Amino acid sequence: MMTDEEFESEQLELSLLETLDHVLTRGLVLAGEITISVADIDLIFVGLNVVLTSIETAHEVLGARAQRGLDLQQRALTPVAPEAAPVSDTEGESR
Amino acid sequence: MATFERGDERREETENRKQMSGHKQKRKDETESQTNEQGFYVYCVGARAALESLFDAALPAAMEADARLELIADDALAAVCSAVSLADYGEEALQARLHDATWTALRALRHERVVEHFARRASVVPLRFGTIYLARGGVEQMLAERRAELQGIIERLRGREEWGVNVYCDRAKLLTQIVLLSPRLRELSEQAARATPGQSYLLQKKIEALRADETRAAARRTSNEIERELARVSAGVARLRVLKDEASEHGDAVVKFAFLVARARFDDFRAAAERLAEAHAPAGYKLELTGPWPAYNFAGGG
Repeated sequence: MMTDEEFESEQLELSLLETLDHVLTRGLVLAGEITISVADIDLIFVGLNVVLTSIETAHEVLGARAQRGLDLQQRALTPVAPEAAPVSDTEGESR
Repeated sequence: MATFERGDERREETENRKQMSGHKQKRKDETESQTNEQGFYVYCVGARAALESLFDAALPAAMEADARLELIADDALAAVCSAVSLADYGEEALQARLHDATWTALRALRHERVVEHFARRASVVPLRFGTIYLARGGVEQMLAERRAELQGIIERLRGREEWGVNVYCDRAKLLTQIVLLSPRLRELSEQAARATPGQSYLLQKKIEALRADETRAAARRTSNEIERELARVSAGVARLRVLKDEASEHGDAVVKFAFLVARARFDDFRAAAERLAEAHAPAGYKLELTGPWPAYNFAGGG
């Protein structure tokens, strides 16, 4: 089985990617005097995505995925908080 | 991309600065630490009174350690800002910085932490990462020019935050389930079993095509049902883009939603999501709930 630590580190990475997606690609766009353009934002997001997912070795990713599938059978609904909130063993709790 | 929208002498001042920073570009490395030109990074906008009261308590860290969060306000609205050095956040410098993924990821997280802090305590309009004004006056002018629009958004978001619902499916499982669920597919499979090798081959081709069609249709039905059910406990819904090949350990992403939910209905929303997750798990779907987020997807004008 996957350890809590492994589970939480995956949650962290997932939560990080979700966060970047929100912050970089959504939110009201105001014309500041310096504003990152839409095209740049896409590139930045893709770049970050690649960097964050390549941190783990292929072995670690594959191993974690196989385990995660089982894990999620009992955890069909996985709450991921924008901050790294602990996820409980069953359904998680709201904050 | 930089936009210059002001028509007064400030514009000249800005242009001059831009030129100056252009000239400086070559010597930037030596002069970086001495450059004290500052811009203002803007995180979110809210009602002045509501935001001012939050400045009595502890605040999260600003974009850079050398500046604190501050408010730039007019009589109605306020923008949560912090000073940033144009040596890092000037137009050209910023472009270069953004190529550094670690630098950018850290700043994006700081942006989120600040917006989240205020969104949890007041109704604010979350801004997208990377909005910088060269002077206080630019922020003030923005607040004045867009007052009606900003106030409209603030009212719409009052007492509400955003939840994300990502739907994933296990394609292999769904394909198997489809054969059991579809009478037409079952019938074809039985025919194929009785047919001659030649006929059977053609029937198999037909079955595969039909299976793919029915799987897509089933995924669409499930997505629509999830959207409809959760919309009943929400104040707004948005379908988000799913990046191509956005697979994860959960399977392939089918659809991603953002729901605007009243804080008072968080429990209802969660319970509804859990019911749906349970109901669709046997067919190979997984629901992932994320949040609560500042209402990034509902911060547009419209």
